[in-house]
Amino acid sequence: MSEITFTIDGVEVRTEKGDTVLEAAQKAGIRIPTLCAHPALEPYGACRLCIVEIEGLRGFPPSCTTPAAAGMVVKTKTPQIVDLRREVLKLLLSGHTSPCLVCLHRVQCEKYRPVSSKAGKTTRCFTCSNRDQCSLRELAVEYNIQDLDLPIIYRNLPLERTDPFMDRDYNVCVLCGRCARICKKIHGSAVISFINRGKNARIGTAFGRDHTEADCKFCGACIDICPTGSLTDRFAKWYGKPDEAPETNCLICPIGCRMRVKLKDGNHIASTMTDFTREARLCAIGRFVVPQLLNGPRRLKTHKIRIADGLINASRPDAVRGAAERLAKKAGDSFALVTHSQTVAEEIYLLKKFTNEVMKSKNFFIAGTDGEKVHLPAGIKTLYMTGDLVDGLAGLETIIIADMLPSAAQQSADVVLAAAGLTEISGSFTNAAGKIEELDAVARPAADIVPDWRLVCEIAGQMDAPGFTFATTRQIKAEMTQKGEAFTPGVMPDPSPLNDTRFLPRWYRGHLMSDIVVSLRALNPPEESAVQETTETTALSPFKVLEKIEVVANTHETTIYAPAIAEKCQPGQFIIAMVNEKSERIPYTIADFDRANGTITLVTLEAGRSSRDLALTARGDSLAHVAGPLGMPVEVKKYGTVVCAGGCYGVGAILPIARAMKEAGNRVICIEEASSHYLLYWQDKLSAVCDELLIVTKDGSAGMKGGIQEVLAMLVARGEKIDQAYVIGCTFMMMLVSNLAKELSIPTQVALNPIMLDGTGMCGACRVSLEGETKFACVDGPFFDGHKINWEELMSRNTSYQGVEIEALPQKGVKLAHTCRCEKNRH
Amino acid sequence: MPEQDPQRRRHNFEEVPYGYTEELALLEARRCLKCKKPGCVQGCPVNIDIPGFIKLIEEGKFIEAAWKLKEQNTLPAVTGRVCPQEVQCESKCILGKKGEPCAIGRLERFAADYAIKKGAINVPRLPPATGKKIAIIGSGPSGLTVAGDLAKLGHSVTIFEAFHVTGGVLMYGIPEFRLPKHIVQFEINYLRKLGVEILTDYVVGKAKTVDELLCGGYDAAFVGTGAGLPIFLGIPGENLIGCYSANEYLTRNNLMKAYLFPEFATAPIRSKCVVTVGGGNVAMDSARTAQRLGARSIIVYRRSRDEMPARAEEIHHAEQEGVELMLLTNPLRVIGDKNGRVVGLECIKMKLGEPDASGRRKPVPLPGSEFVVECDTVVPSLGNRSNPLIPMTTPDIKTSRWGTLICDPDTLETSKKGVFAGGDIVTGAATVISAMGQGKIAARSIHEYVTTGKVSKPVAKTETAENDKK
Ligand SMILES: Cc1cc2nc3c(=O)[nH]c(=O)nc-3n(C[C@H](O)[C@H](O)[C@H](O)COP(=O)(O)OP(=O)(O)OC[C@H]3O[C@@H](n4cnc5c(N)ncnc54)[C@H](O)[C@@H]3O)c2cc1C
Ligand code: SF4
Ligand code: SF4
Ligand code: SF4
Ligand code: SF4
Ligand code: FES
Repeated sequence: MSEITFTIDGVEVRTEKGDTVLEAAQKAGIRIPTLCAHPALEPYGACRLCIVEIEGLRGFPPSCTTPAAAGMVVKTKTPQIVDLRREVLKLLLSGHTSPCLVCLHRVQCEKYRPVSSKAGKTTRCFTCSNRDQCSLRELAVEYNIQDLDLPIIYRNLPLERTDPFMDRDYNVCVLCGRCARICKKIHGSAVISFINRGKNARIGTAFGRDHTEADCKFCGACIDICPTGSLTDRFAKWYGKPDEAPETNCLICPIGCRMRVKLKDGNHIASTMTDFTREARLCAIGRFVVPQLLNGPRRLKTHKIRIADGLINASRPDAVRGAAERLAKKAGDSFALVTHSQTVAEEIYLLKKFTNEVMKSKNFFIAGTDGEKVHLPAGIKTLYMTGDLVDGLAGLETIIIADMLPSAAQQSADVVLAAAGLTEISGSFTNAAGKIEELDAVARPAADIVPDWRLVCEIAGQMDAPGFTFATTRQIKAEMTQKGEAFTPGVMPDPSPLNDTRFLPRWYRGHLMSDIVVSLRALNPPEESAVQETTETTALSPFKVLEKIEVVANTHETTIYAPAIAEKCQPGQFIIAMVNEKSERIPYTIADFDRANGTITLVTLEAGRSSRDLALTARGDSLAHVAGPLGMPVEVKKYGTVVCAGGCYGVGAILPIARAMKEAGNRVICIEEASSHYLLYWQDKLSAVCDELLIVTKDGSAGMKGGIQEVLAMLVARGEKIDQAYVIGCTFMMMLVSNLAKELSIPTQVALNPIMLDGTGMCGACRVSLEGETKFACVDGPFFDGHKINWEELMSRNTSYQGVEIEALPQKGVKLAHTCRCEKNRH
Repeated sequence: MPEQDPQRRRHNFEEVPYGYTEELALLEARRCLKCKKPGCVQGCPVNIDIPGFIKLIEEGKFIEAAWKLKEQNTLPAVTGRVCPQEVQCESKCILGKKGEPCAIGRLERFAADYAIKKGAINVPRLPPATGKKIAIIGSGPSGLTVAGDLAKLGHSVTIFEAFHVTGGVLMYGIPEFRLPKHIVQFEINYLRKLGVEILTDYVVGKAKTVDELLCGGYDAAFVGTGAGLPIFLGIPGENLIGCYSANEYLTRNNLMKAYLFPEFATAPIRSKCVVTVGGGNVAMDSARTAQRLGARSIIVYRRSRDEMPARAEEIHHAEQEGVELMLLTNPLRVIGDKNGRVVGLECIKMKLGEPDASGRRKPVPLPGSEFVVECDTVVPSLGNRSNPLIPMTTPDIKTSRWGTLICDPDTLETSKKGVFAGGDIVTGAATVISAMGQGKIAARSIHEYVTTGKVSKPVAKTETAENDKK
């Protein structure tokens, strides 16, 4: 290969012939911004962010597609290029869900709301799971984009979440084509590609099928290469940016793919390919299922010992001692140990050594990976197994199980040890090709959980058996080498799971993986399922959903038949709803009501499990419970000029207040705030009940640019005397508005939305501080004097369950939220 | 009585005492002397025919025994578990003079459980409908009792309950391991069989008010809305994340089943160390729940053990399960970290001084003895005040200084015509059985009121019992 020399920004650089200008610059450490380019992909030249100036060439060629030539003089940062790039970026952002990027309050918002809202559809950075690792955001900050000249185009495509493991929201897509190109590169033919042309261009599957039907391999490459929050891993997405990403191998099948393990607080939350090549690809199990086996809700986290007729939690020392005591006088061929092959060689060796030397038994079995259970030979009385591996436990006297997942067998165990496995363990693994891999333990299980080999060492230690004082798998390996143990490779699965999801591995440690990770059933329906899926029954109730639409993205308008509530409710009150018998009790403001027809209307955002349940109801469904009306209504009287301001769900909530204030003879000014024009709704309804409707958007795409506080300031500046203001929306917005209103001495009532439980004043979960005095928002509120509230405390309290909330999110693919007004097509 | 092993039960939510076997029940029933003038009946707030039902047990007629109980007591399987019998019926038992009193509570529970297990429900033949409609507000033990008694007299009864399930404290407060929830629901289903209509998710005062119910066709109303307003410590730091009222702590688990998260959506409180402040039954329930959720569980109480208002048995159970008691200790402030989460509770040591108004010796702080208990959760369990909703929305109903409803003690009629009340909303936080006892009195008054239009004082207490018996 010959080298060439040329200059970039006055610096002489050398590069290999055939490199592009971009590659040369990157090698020389000169940064040129890119979006569609990716080291793993062929040059594409679509986004044009990487434009440069080349002496002697007209125009601004993209550096990613321009080959470097000897003697070239390249400039990457002239004011003209920077300007042009800004224009390119602005154009790009105006086709993206980018209002947060050009919002005046972005810095403050990020300080107060460091974690994104767990929305369904992404409408802006604040509801985007990509927020803390987004290259687009970085670019926008770097190029100081504060305004867009064109209004943002929001495509309002449906959220695609029927497939297992992945959510797709192409409203966020910037059409960089990385996903389609990587899919094609890895699998030869692309599952997803550009469909439609021109302004309707988008990414999708042929014929709009879902991925399961379109023969997607669920390798996850597209998710991992997508620069935006468009393609996401449903399980990992809300954990945010991983802290580390070390490598190890997958132990599920003998292929033993190398994988990069994304860790958050030591937990394996996603595995990705080590390289975007066909050779490095992972199957759906390695990519998506392994993290859920390790960190899904069914992971065994506690050791247990039997006392009388039940199992109790125990510490590891207690459980180990319990196991040792039970194994004490059981040596001989009535003992059997059954393990599995989905682990490192050292572990298998050590378990065998334990069986032979400590328990003096020859009954050591390794169950296959095909789910076939081991049938114990006659005469076995004591069993130790490292999974759900044996058929017929009846007749056994002592059962000790070390496992990572729950099984029915554990009900009859004497000791259950919670073990580590997969990416949590180190050791040697001989892949099907015969290569011995040295694995490091990369994921970190809870403190009390250790690998099977260590459990056995501890048990042997308790039994005073010599020869089990290993501290590392390396020491075990040294002994194995010394004894000339062979490291035998497993059998290459054929056909390979990497090529066809029908042949994905099904079993781990004797557990049918689709019982543990239910979404897997979409790919390989179980032959026999051990666990009955709990069907969520919604009790028959009078709270029937009469209308249900997604009024704007991620915002749902639901009309419910609830005559007792409709009859009595007043503006400003709320209800507590439970969608089904297992739901939380969640408060929602009554956005509108119709006494004659006995209905109430809610406007709700999808922001977590319970609000998702509500968002996914359809016309004709019934909610399990709706209690209300709760809280104190606003005081309706003649004030003079009343401002009713709302943002997100609050737009719905201010409607009845505005109407009542108007009827009471006030001059009513309504303010509707949204991040962008495509999130505005109900302007017509608001206009009908106020004297003036002012619109304000964070990106300036409709009405004023800014937030409600900017409109208030404007109103005051134009000489308006505001006698009373009502503000409803997210806590952050209400805080900003209240702060300004206090300065301007505008009496302001805000509707607080703290965490609630009963909503009837019984629990105190909803307490808020007003100038040092504690109030219960559900009975004393929800309206309080905005000038007096301790906002910092309120925002802090609202984060109480942030971590846990992620776990509550369902992982199974869901039927699409029904968004049109037609009768839901059931079955 | 056989019990679940403490080592085992501190990890589960299964019931602690196993209950009598048939043999044990027969043995115990045989000890009862079947007194002609039984003291025990006087000690029972609902005047159960104690010798009568015990005799039936002795004869092996377990189901009949349960039916006998039902005549006076709407919720025998509940009271058999949660009544403080040692200060009620059993304290008056003649056998107690010399040795152990007859285990009335356990026998009661045995008979009631037996009938439940066998599904043997005896729905009495109801008298012809009177056409009178009565609204019962709140489905705690008082409301359930009134409902049962009035339904048996042929009135048409509707229970209005704010929550999504019926039972009041029996469902949201008292934990599963003390009172299995299916038992409560079984007893409530019995009311349904009596024709009682139950409307859950109905907040009286917010939806219809008491006045509107009375104008809208109800002839009388009973208010049994309980004492549901949690009392906080009033010390700095109480609004930090990790500080919960006992009501919230218990409700998340009992009613919302957060311990089954994520199958149930309500977020659990995951703690390493929980400090419960208080010495009553509620504190014991919180501390024992914390223990079961896998946390280290400490009770901080400002007086000494003897002054603890909780039942001795509960304190004993708690200690057996590993709950640590820090007595003569008073909290001063809750300490938080920079994220607003609890990291400790600063306390001060106390000593007992002179007896106060309640006759208990008043604790006084020992200056300079401040110390910090490291913990991530603090649960003030100081009890509850009256639920203010009904007084707030019923203008002409009189309340006391403490927010309880003022009633004629003999008839339980409130200051508002046609409105009666009972349970914790009248007495302040008390007991299940006292709420039921009041329910019986109120039922009698309501019956008289709707049939004759007036309310007279009962002649003697036993008369009440006679009246209801038929
Ligand atoms: C944790 C705990 C443990 C306890 N342990 C014991 C024990 O072991 N033994 C014992 O004897 N006692 C115990 N008690 C006390 C006992 O539970 C109460 O004294 C008893 O439940 C009071 O009954 P009640 O009918 O007055 O009201 P509650 O049981 O409080 O029921 C009131 C009901 O009314 C409903 N309600 C309130 N307002 C309205 C409205 N406006 N409209 C409709 N419905 C409304 C509430 O939702 C509630 O369901 C305990 C209490 C607690 C909190
Ligand atoms: S991908 Fe998400 S985080 Fe990034 S700019 Fe778009 S909306 Fe914001
Ligand atoms: S998961 Fe893999 S196979 Fe499926 S679309 Fe993405 S890249 Fe293609
Ligand atoms: S989905 Fe992602 S990777 Fe694919 S084109 Fe859109 S932004 Fe690019
Ligand atoms: S093919 Fe799948 S299961 Fe097998 S090693 Fe690779 S990622 Fe793991
Ligand atoms: S939500 Fe329980 S007191 Fe307000």
